[in-house]
Amino acid sequence: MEKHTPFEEEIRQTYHLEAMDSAFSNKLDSELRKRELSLTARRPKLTWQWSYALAPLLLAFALLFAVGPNRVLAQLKTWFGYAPSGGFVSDTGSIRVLAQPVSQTKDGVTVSIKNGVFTNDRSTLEVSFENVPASAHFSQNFGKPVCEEESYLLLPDGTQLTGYDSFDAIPADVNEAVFVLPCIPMRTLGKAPENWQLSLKFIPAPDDFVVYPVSIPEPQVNLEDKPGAEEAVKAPAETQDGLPVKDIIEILAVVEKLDAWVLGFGYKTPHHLEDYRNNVDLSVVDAAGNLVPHSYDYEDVGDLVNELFDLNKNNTEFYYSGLSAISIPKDNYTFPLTLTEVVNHIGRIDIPRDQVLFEFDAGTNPKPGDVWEINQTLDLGGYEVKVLNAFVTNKVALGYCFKMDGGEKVQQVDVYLPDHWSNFGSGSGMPFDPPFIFDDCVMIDPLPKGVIRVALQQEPSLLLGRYLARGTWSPEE
Amino acid sequence: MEQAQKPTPKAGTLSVMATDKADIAEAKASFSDLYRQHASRVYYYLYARVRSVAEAEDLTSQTFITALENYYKLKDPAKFVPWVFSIARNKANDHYRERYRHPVERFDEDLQVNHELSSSTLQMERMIELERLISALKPVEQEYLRLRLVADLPFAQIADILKQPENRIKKSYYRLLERLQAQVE
Repeated sequence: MEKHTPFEEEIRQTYHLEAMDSAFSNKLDSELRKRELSLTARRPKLTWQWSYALAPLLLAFALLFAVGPNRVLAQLKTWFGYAPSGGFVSDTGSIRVLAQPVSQTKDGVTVSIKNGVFTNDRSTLEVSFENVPASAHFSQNFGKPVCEEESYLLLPDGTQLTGYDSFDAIPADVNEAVFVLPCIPMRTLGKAPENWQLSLKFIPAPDDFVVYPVSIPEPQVNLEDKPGAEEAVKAPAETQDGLPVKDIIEILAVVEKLDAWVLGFGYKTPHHLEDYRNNVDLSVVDAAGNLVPHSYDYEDVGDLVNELFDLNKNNTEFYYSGLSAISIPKDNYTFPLTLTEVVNHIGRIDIPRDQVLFEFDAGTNPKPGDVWEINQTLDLGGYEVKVLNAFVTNKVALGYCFKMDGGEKVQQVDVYLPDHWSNFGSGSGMPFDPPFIFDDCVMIDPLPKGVIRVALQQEPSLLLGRYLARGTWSPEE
Repeated sequence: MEQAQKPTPKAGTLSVMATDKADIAEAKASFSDLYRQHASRVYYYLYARVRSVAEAEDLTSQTFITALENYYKLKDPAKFVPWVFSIARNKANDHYRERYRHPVERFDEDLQVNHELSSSTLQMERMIELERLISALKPVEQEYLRLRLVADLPFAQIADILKQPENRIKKSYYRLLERLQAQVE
């Protein structure tokens, strides 16, 4: 059986599993044995004649896979623009918007749809709720049925497009629909008005409707997802500021606004490569070495990152971690611009979880402010971690914290108390710079007394290396 | 719960035969042995999907009968577990397509049962909230939890079933746990 943490066990318990009924199990076993015997007598063999018949089909599959990446790229290049709230748009002539905001009020609760964008690619609505009583929230009514039913757009022909605020595209000849909301999400059934229906009408987008041009740069990062690529990434030839440089930041899409470029990017990673990383801060400089101002732009292009994720989620060669978007004000930079970020590459020490690491005596009356010096060095899979002390916290809630020194390599250790139920854990988070000194806390109220055993919750985080991730970009001519 | 094991050939047991390569057939364990090794986990997984004993039993039967009928196609006996779970997933998906029913339909009944069983109000509320959070997860995230915690499969086999890289699944799984833990707290 796989080792699970207490929290994993909690999750498992939510399934209320019961053992399979032995009578059923035996009956099925008997049935399978009978079938097994009869199958041995009549199994056909696949002959080479069949393989000739299959050859054209196999060739077609081979061609399909051979042209796959180019077709994906070609598909990306068909995007015409990016509409805030509407995502990528392949045909601006077909964009429609909500004719007017709509709302409905029941028992003082109002559901409103203030905006809507309808393209050939999808339909998006801005749905909001007002005056929903706090007592209707599921957290106030534990054990009672919670709204789970999805909302949908009901088209005149009866078609239902399910979703919350994003739906499939509505056919161009359909100019109205009803937004049906069976119940308000996250609310206890019966505690807030239900069965909402709001009629929507669509009109062509006005002339001043903003659609920004989008460009999809040619891939710059060349990593091959095959044996050897990992070593190439781990041992790059170039260094900068004493750090190895890895050209893995890929610019995935550029939205061109009047006064700024918005760059969507990610860290291109072969599927087989561990990618746990924590980052410090992105830096952008131009080719003349001047710093380029940038900001994380989520207001206008909040959905861009989601779009990029969706576009790349089925890529079988690579994936992009750390997808993000920055806005760069337009100016006379010397191109190309170079994006860099110091990155800690994090792995995990492969040691069994749940092992008791140390214990301490909390005495008979532990209270906030108490500190117990421990100064015990642990050997975690060949790496040393020193437990400096234990202390009682009441910052977030009452609990025990453990201050640890992971030295130059062990970045974090998660612990729990195997003999006591804990509500949750906390701590100082994962530090970036060694030596790694951190707190890990177990919130527990009331505080257990006497000898407390402390065990390993999950594999400790290990600093595998630090490097400079890099990518470049120039606007298209 | 059984541990994931590579099926091993057993002297005197019947091999489900009839591929062109006798050595492959010989390397395979009796299907009945495989059934007994893995039935519980498949059943648990299906129960976690449909939340009904009768339907879980029905789908477990369908899964193993389909697996038996196609067992001769399985060239690598070591892949039996991910293979049979792939069949189970397909059966569960077909089940929902047919019934057009959401998997959490029985959720509230479960909550009430749990309500009575839990010993402490705090734990009960936490479990109920956890159940609600899990039911609101994306389907693939729910699948990570079912395959890892209900079916008790190692990441390598989950990767085979979901056709995703093991590292990506590990990363997604641990991030999911962190997120759930933060939410439930």
